[in-house]
Amino acid sequence: MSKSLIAALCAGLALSGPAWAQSTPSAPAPAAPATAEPAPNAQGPLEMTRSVAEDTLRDIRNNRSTYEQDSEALYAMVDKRILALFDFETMSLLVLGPNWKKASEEQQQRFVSAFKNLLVRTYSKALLQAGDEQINWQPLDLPAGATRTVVQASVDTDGKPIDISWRLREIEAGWRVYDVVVDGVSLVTNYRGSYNSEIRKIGLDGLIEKIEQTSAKAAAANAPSRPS
Amino acid sequence: MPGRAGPPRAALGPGLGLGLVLLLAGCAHSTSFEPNDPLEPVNRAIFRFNDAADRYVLRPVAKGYDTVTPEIVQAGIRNFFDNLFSPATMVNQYAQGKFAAGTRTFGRLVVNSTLGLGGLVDVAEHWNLPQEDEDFGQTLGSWGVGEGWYLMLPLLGPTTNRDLVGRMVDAPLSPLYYSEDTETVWALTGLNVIQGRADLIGADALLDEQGDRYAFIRGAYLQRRQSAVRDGAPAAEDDLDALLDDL
Repeated sequence: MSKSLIAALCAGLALSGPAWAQSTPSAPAPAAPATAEPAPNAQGPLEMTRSVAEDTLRDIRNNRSTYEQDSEALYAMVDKRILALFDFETMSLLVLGPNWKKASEEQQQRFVSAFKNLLVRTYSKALLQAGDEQINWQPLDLPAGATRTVVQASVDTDGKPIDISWRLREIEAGWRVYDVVVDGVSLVTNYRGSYNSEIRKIGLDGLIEKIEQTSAKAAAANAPSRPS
Repeated sequence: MPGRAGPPRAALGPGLGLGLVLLLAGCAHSTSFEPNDPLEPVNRAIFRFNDAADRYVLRPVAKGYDTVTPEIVQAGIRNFFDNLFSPATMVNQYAQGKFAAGTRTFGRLVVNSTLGLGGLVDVAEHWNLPQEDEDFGQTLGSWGVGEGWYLMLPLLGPTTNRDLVGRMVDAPLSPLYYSEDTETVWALTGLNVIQGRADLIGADALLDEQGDRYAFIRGAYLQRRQSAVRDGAPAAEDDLDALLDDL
């Protein structure tokens, strides 16, 4: 069972498959929600998710060999692009749960940045593995006045299609993703579980340091591929 | 799926008994971020063992296999094992009252076993009979049986009391279970495991990023099984929504 689980996790993290970039968008994203007054440059959630995914994958496809050799360039590109889509502060808050409130502001900021770096690295690696699977976006039915929604897509793979959901909420800046659910596995809930158990053992500061160290180690060991 | 073909028959008698005892031992429902894992120290020790076995034996073998085996052959092998599990899927669909789905799976089994050359080619997929995913662990879940404890099995990986019982019930539904040719059964089981591991190679980098891989895998396993029981529908009560409401 874990096979498809982790394959799915990767595929989902990769916002998978460059293939749909070639297909003409048959169901164009609904324009900004037909609510009273959409904020200036606010994009609808589906449009937003889809365009970030599409642009990122196009970039990877066009520059794959560069990114395979230069991880730092890859991270910088992914960092820039997904920053526009993800709300890392809300994600961090949800991941830490009750521990967030107990944390000092400095701890909160350190955690957000460490967690963001971790996700960017993880995402980037998964992105490089994206094949040419077909992604099918589901039309979004967004009731007027809704401030949370779920953008859904399915990715065709060797076996069964894998369902991916992006959970978004509207903040001042626009619609932002706060969780990704791949084949029933929520990214936030998963990190929440593993971080909770670490915090009990080594405390929040210990956890933050551990995440920072993992990043530093990965950055140091960058040039070739990961030592196995 | 790794290990889906199940252990050979001899192991099943005592195993089934043990499984039922474990099932009775704990039927509590747990959330995936506060998992019901009373055996955690033992589970972690087994996880370390599995991890070492993987690092030094299974992963290198699977990598070599993946390098020398063309994708089309691998797809055939995946299809073959999926087809062997079809009878179990079908029985579980009927057991859950999903009669149309059970009949679709029966259609798949017939089409793929014949036109699909004994399951190597997934012909049925093109006939609008997609592969579906049911097993007895999910059936028990749909009947309201809680998952019990999270368990880490030597070499077989993560499971729960409920899913362990599920595997034992599903095992006799595999045609391999009735083969007298032990050598072939073990060879096929091994091939299934290696193919399953090869499919996971891409995930190694992701897992290596995790500070506590045991907890990460536990959370992912439990979440995914809970979602499978709901057939992918979102959870009725969602903790994240409650946290967001609090903001």
